[in-house]
Amino acid sequence: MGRFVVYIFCVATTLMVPISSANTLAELVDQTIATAKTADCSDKRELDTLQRIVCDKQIQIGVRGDYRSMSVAESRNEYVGYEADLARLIAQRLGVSPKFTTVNPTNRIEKLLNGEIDLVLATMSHTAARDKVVTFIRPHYYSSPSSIFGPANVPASVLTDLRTQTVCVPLNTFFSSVLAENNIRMIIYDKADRLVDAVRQGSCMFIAHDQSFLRATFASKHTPPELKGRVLEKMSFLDVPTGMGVRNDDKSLGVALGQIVAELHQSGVLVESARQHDVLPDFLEKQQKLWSTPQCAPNADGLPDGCLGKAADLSDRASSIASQVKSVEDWLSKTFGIEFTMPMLSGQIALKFFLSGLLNSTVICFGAIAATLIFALLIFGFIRSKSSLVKKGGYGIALIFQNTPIILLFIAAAIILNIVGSFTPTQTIIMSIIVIGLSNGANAAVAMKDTLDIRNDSASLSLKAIVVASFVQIRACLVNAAKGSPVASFVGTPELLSVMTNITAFTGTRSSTYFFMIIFYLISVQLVVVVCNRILTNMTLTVDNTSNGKIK
Amino acid sequence: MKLDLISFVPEFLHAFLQNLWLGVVALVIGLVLGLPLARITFKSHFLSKVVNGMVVFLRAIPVFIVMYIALGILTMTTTIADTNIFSMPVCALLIGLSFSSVSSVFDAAVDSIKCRNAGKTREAMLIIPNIFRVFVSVATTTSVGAALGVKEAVSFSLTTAERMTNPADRLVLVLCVSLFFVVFVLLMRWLINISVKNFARV
Repeated sequence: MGRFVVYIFCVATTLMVPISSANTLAELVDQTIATAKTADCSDKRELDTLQRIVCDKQIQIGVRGDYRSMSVAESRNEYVGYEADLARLIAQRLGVSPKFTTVNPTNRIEKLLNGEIDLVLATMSHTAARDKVVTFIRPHYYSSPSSIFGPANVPASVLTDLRTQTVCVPLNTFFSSVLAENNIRMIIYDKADRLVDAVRQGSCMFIAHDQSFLRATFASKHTPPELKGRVLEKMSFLDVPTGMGVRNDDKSLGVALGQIVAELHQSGVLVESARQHDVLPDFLEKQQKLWSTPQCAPNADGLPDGCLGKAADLSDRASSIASQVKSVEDWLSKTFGIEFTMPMLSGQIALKFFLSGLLNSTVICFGAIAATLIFALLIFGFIRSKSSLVKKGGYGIALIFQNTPIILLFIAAAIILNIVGSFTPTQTIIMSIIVIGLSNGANAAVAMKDTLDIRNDSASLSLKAIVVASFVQIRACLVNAAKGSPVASFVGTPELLSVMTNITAFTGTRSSTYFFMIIFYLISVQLVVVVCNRILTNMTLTVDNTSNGKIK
Repeated sequence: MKLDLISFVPEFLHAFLQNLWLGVVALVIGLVLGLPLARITFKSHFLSKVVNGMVVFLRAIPVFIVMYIALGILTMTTTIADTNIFSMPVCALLIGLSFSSVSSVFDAAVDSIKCRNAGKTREAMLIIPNIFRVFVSVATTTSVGAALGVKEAVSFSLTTAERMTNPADRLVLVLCVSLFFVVFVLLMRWLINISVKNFARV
């Protein structure tokens, strides 16, 4: 009976939260906290999270430990930055002490859901996809666009200027899909401090991240001397709000935190904190004005919905085969205990990228094999020509394309395409086929010439017989041609490696990406070997039956 | 921007030393793993099958892919200090090159062991120029490290080229660097040919 009374009391107090008679935000927050404080702390099983926090006089908050200006761990439970300030202000308003736990983008939601922390306050962008997993506190406590920083002496003002560049990005970021759509090559780092190290070491020329982070790291009073002026802001895009998150069951805590954030916005204390930590205060100043207007004063439901920001809808919608993919993932998990996700098949954008990458790589792979054969025969024809000029020309072509690293050939071809003035995906695919074909074709032509040189009967050999005699070397060149397509990603060709890296950047899953790439190249190479061997068998039989060349 | 040859050439050659150094390290890895693997194939039929399957795998995966996968795994699991000469991109490149060097050294060693077993000691000694060939191939392939930001000759040339406003100047620079690599490879081949001729005389 006693338990039933407590239950009724708890339900009643929870229901009371939205029905407010407060005139100001401060009164609203006072009411909510006062209601929570009326809970019976002796029976913890009956308490909701807000009541438990109030009873324990402690709130567990997950914050970043490496995010300059937002939250940097200076020592145990000592964090500095705008988010750390906000966490302390919230705890202070609730009348409890904060207990910090360092989280990162990979584990912050997991730690919240498994109860390790009560609140995530860790540079988490509020997106529609995340809304399904956690409850975001509105109003948002910050909003910032994503930026790209790069060297001062390299011109880049729009995304298309970066098509031949490598941009270093953090893992699992929504803005990576925008870079992917613009065919920009990405290198993924899973921690923000590693990105900064990569810039310091010179491994990254361009770096993409939240504007607040990049400005604080590379263009603030806290910037270390060795990083000052290293990279400058080149462009910004895609403004997305940042919000705190609580578990979906913790409604009362969510309501209280929303009211506290609104009150803090109105007071202007967040603007001061932002300025103190070199965080751009534009959004916060707008929020301060907004929450000072009569329209945003509390109403009977609490905070007026029109004053609260919305989630950014950047999610990749489920693909037509998403349910089947999920079934396969579940089967793998149940049968073998393997947690193997295939994000490249489950999202519409990811699937589109994946299929186009697969198609492009297949086209490049087989196109390069055909081009290798064509160029091999062409260069070999030049080398065997009776005209000494053509012969010298053939040798010259073979010498250059055989000995130049393929990456330099790609760069030269990309520059030529740029001079011509166009750089479409189709053109880069054709360019890749020609470059791979020339590089491997030159090798194959020289191999055929070497075979001819060591034979006594070279004058009487047919072309088919020469091909059969130098088959092992030609096959090696064809295998190299089949393997050559990934290098094309260096100049922005949208092939498999390039699109898989891009998909990984915004889905955050790497194992399946690597698995699919390895499988693709294993199959391609084995296919070339099998087909070549079959062709050799047929050709050997044909050559044996002719009088020109007997190959044994 | 016009190219200042007086400052470019020494810096380029310094960057090229990185290519050679990485080539040496990758070759050492190839020798350390490739030679014992080649020996194993002559010890037992079962082990021979396993090792050959492994080498087929190493041969089939492009260096570029291995390099990217290695970088992905390293950035997930490892922290390497700034000052370390084996920075993360360098380690990733070395892992990629090792796939190629191990399989190439394995092939050269298997041929050599076969010749020695058949009593052709002189032919077996051809493993030395063959390994030199592997070094030349690996040292040239180090240029793919530019994609990860490894500070080697191609990467340095690219950074210089990026600063040039005229694309034609960039093309000239890239062609000059290509010519340098062509001359380097030809020089190495000449050395290989000399060594082969010396072996033939012996």
